[in-house]
Amino acid sequence: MFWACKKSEDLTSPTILGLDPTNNKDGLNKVLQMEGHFYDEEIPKRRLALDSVIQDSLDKNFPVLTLGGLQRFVELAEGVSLFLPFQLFQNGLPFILPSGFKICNGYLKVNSSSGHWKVPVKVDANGKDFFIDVIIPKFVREGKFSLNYSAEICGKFQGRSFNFITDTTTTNIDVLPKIPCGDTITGSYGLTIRKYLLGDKKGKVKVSFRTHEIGDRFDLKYNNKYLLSTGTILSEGRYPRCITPNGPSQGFIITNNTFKDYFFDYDPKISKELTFYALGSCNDARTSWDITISCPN
Amino acid sequence: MGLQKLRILFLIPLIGMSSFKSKCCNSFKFDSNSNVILPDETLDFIDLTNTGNKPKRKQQRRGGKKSKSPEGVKMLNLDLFIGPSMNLASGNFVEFQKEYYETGSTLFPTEVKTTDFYWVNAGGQLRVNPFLESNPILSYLGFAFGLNYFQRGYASEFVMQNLSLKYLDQTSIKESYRTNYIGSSLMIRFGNRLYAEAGASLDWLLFGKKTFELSRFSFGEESYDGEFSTGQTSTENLDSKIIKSGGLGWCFSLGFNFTDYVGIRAFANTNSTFFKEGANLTNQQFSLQAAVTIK
Repeated sequence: MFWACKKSEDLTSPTILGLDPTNNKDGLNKVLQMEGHFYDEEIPKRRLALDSVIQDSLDKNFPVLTLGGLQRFVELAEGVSLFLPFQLFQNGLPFILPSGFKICNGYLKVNSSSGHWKVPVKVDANGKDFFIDVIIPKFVREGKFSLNYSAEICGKFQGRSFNFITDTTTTNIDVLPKIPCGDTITGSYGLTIRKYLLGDKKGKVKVSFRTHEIGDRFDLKYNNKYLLSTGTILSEGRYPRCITPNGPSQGFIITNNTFKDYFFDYDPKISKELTFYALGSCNDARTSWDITISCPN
Repeated sequence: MGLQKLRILFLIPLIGMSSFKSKCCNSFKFDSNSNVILPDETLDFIDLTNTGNKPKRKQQRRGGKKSKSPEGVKMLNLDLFIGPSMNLASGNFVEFQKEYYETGSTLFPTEVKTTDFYWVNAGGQLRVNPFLESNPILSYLGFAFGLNYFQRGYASEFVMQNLSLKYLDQTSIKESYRTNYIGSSLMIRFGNRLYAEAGASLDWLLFGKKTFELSRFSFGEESYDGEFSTGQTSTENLDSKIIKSGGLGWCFSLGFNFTDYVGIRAFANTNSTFFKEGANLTNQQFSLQAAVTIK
């Protein structure tokens, strides 16, 4: 993946402030903000339990489920809500839970840390798309880490209570600084969630987004509401994804190296930060995009 | 106390002069009133019989007029100090850290507060009083070259709650920066029993540590899968790449000597650089020390 260029160090911040995500994995694991329960134990491995008895091996007729439709790489600014989407797959094909089954829990941890979280999993109305919502706190410094997560499926199987925990999967996270207005950043494959600082002046802000020969999608959030999009503007609690209930997501535009401009009214009294979500092509890792957000005029 | 020679020129009234004269009258002379005039040798003898010691001649100081130096003060002195100290920090970094941790979100209210920081300050100084015998006022003036050990830094506590949940979920972080220094100072002292000092100090970093102490818990009937509590402590080294070493500061003191050797001193040190880059701290140290002087 082509990582966006790191901005030079903020001159007002001594580098030692806050939590270091690269060298303090245990601390990072324990400051993740979400609904959940923290256990000082290893994350559960793939297992099947029938009537609360863990089975030594999986029945050959039992469908082995895995997680797919994942967000493998995410660049984000600290303090943003990160979503970890997934779907269930069996033998590489989408799997729809039968009636009476549901995803009852998710398990999440920072890779190479001790302990794990047991968390609720949110589900779309169609019952096929799931995600875990987690916030990386504002005081987490720039750095790289990975999140491991899995899903627990509960229900009744042949008259017996059933619990199945999938294998864990991984999403790589890169925490990057906020961007001052007027700067241009470049991205590529995967999801990028970044914040722009727009300052104290009220006015009109220009957002310029450029892709090349491969389509990418862009969504802008201001004051916690989606304001602009290259596709359909998302509703609260939704996130740009590669796959939607109706198939591949729309809104992946090709601008052929020209900037497409959007405008909105900025008021620092409402909020001084702008969050944008850039979703690079889900199918082609060679994709590239640029975005510039001007200072209020 | 040395013996003092008494020069006595006295006239002894003669009582029973005949008996006195029969023994020694050939040695004495008499004045017009028939009083005996004793020779010097006899006076010496009287001194001997009175004190049992050979009388000493009074010694004269050589050289010019005699000057009066402060009592108990020597040209060269070694002062040693030790006592508890308190470090107060202020400056851009304090405000910057508050903004850094504050989320600005009504769903995640935060509170950041500074916590107190206590340690010990210990050291010594070689003090010279070069004008001791020249001038009554300048004799109170001295110069001190000193070394002292102290800690400097900053400590704060940050508390955040997640109000988007139906139960209490709280994250607390205590962040402290503790650095150890040797200060090399040059001070000017004025006074003796009661004295004041002022000067400059170059403060050299020995080593330092940042401690990040985290605690997290949930509370309430609606806690997801029940209540939990966890914590973690991590440390990072602070070296001269991050913390400035050799920064110039100012130091002051006010002291009182109970005796020539023992006293107390109130000491203050201020330095306006801490981090090498970024928002900075001004540290003010206050210490109340026991003082011992070796002459």
